[in-house]
Amino acid sequence: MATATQPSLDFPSQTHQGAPVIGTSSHLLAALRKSALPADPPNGLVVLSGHSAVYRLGICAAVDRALADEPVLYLAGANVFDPFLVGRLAKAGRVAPARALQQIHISRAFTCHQMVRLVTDCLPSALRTYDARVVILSGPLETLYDQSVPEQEALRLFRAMLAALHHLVEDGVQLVCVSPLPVMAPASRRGLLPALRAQAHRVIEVRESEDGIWLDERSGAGTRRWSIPRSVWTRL
Amino acid sequence: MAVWLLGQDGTRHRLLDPFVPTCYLAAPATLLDQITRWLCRASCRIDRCIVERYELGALRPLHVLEIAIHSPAQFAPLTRRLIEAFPDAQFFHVDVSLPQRYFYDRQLFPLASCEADVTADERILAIQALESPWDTGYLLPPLTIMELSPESDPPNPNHGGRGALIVRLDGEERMLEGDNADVVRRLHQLLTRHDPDLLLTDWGDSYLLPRLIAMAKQLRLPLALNRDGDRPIGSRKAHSYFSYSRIVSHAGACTLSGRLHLDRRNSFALAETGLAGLIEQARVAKIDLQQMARTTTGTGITSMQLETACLDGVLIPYRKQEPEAFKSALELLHTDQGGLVFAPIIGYHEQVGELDFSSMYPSIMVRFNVSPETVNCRCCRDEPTARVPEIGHHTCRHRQGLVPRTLAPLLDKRARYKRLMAATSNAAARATLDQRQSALKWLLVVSFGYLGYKNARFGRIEAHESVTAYSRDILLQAKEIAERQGYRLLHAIVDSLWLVKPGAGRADYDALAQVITEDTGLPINVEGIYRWIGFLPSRVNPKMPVPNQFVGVFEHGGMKIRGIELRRSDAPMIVKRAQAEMLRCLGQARTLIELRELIPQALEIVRTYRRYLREGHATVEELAIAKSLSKEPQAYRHQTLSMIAAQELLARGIPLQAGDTIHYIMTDAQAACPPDRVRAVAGLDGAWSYDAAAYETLLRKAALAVLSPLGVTIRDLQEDTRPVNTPSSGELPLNFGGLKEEKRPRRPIR
Repeated sequence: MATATQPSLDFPSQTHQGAPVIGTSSHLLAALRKSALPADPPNGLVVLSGHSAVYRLGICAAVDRALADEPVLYLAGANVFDPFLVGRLAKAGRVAPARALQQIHISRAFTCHQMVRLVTDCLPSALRTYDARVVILSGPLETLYDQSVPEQEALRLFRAMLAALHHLVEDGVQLVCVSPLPVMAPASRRGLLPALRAQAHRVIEVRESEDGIWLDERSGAGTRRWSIPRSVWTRL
Repeated sequence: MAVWLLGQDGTRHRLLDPFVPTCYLAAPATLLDQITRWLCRASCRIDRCIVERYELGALRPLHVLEIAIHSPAQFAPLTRRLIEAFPDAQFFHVDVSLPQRYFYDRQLFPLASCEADVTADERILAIQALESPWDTGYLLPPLTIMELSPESDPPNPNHGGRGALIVRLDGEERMLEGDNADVVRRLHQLLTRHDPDLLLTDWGDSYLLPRLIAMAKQLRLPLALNRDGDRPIGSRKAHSYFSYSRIVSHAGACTLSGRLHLDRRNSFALAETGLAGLIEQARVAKIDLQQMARTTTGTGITSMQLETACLDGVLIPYRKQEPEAFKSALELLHTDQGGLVFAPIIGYHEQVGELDFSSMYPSIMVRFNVSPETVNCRCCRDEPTARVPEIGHHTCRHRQGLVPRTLAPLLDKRARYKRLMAATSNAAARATLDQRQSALKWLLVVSFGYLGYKNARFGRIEAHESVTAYSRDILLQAKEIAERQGYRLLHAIVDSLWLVKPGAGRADYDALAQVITEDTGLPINVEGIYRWIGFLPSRVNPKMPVPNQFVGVFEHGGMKIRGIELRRSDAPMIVKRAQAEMLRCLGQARTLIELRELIPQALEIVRTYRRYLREGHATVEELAIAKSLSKEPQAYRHQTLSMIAAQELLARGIPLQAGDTIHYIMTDAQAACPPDRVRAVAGLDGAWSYDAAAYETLLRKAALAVLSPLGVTIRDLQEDTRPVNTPSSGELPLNFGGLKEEKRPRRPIR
């Protein structure tokens, strides 16, 4: 299979004068927007899965839209939303953190029933209320891995969630779903992530290496690959 | 429902109470028709009718189908099938355990003194409790207790080690030895002869009972573990779960019918509050004693809330579905904060007073009516007194919520126990009262966490946020009151303050507590006055203060210690003992001047322990390090010491799961070959050695933690003798003279 490898994105760590670049994270947001997570036109359902860095990438994607004064809905299934990261990214973009924080509307789900209710019932009305078209789903499968929920019930809820996501995409909503590899998932539910990926319009694998974070997207045309240098990632 | 009663004449009765459990469901009319037809095909008698019930906080009732199932044994399987068949219906009251439902319905509780009308064929016509679960002066029935333990006391017999079975009864101890058949036969004889009400075991759930049952089955011998011979022995597999960001392993369960089995090594309540505390929790929570021993304290508080809901006619939802309302990330930043902490002023201080709010979070829930249905109610939106400080929420001023209604009697009962403790001079009675109040304290502690817990039936994150917002405001008020009276704040953390004021004595601190109580409306007490207290710095950055890490000596001579090795479960016993001895020495000081004078003695204690280590006297028990596996053993990537020990156990065929605690000793912590670095305690045979240098390092860290704020440095703790790998006592010491520390030899383990 032919593989077209795109060179790593260039995230400058120094200015031409040799001084440290203050806006490195701004470059990251811009680079993500231009490459992995473009804002326009809507990409349908984009799934970032793999290393737990996906959670931070999800926040980066939310902040990028928020800095453009676009409202974003953020559905937190793993309760890892970091408002301080939003603040740092906003500052790096020379925007008051409060302004960015106000553009991100968040709801946390602690059970799979809450998560599915959020996606199926609450999300459509929230999109209208906040006049939003971008949704970040952070860890939507985490709650479905709960062993206290019977197998059949978890699968039924998953199917209901997928159907709702499908309708939202049809309505032109941009969905970015960040989902790490399952750690505590029962063996019988490890198929949920592949099933979610199978429904996605774009799937981006996220992995960590010594030199930083790598994003790989396989498609019919081959593999596109981007890297985020460790120096940039650790300074976020 | 089978009910076991102990008669006044000492006879044990197995009675049957015709209890009919009910559940409810809501669905559109067409679905309801299908469900009705489905129920008609059930194999047991089922009564149905449409009734009006309220969901928690709802203003209008819901029309629901009430389903009464006349065969309690059919309740769980039938409701499970119903949920699977009609997943779009809303279900209520379907997953509360039937013994709990029975207790709620009959107003009974475990080990209650009760009166029953019984037919000749032992069926209960009527039954009523003769006491209240809120009584403090209750007596317990005279239970016959048989204790079972493994002969030796290994850290975990599942990880290795064999021995006889010890049986204790009526103050006598018997050792059951011989082959498996002998052990099973003799135990069966003892069980049938003495017919104990309670089997109190060590490692009964995971080790003793499963093995005894398997042995009896294999040998086809009877073993009367169950008093109710018609029923099987209940078992639940071991499992791991996340709790407060930590993975915890649960050893499974082995429960009996007609007889209680409690495993001291598999019960948080039993370990923390003793049998008196466990019984207290079971009584107020109305949970069967065997379940209460093995479940979380949160299940106890949930059961109390469920009972309140049942009594109020409120529907208990099958699954919590209502998600958090959308809020901006800025609002989240403001609302989702924990308790307030003022970092301590590092160093040792004299004449410091500690004031603690009594059960602060539950008191806030009761005082300010914080409950899932009262937060952001529709009726009090514009009521200024209803507003939660700092954040945009408000709580209802008209209707008392379910959570405050549940917690108020618990707070009251605990306060009564504390008053009784203060009034009694009988040490045994005080110990029992202390266990009971401690049991209630645990229920109160978890009541806050359950407001935000995912599986809490009546939890809601906004209620959780409201409690912490009130607590921050109240702690700030307390600080300001104290400062207005000339006190200086040294440290504050959530519900406790450490204050100092030159010349202030007990009466002054009591007066301050009185003022704070009156102004805030929450009770605060003087925990004590310290002769001296040391707030200890971070070990990584000595200039960085660490909340809740201190050692202090009260005026009455008692010590309070937080956050150091002595309180840590993973510190080896030898390190804990050395630190304790050092603190006992320092504890003699009444002033900071005297404290400094005792430093040379404390250093001598450290030197003594170092010599003890180097001379090879330390035993396995003193050296064992206990670590909990934070993930499945196969998921570890790095060769940490605990991982190496886990691999050793796995290689011996011992099953391990995430959350399991393993015990090991460091044999050569820096060895190039990972398996040489540690040995699992369970696998130690006659020949082993330990890495004295590695243990000395731990010892020095423990000493420095306490002494560094007094100016002691690592140089003061160093010696010129080079550390060696020291064989255990009984082996010939090897001569390592002339070798440098970084090139320590590694002695192979035989």
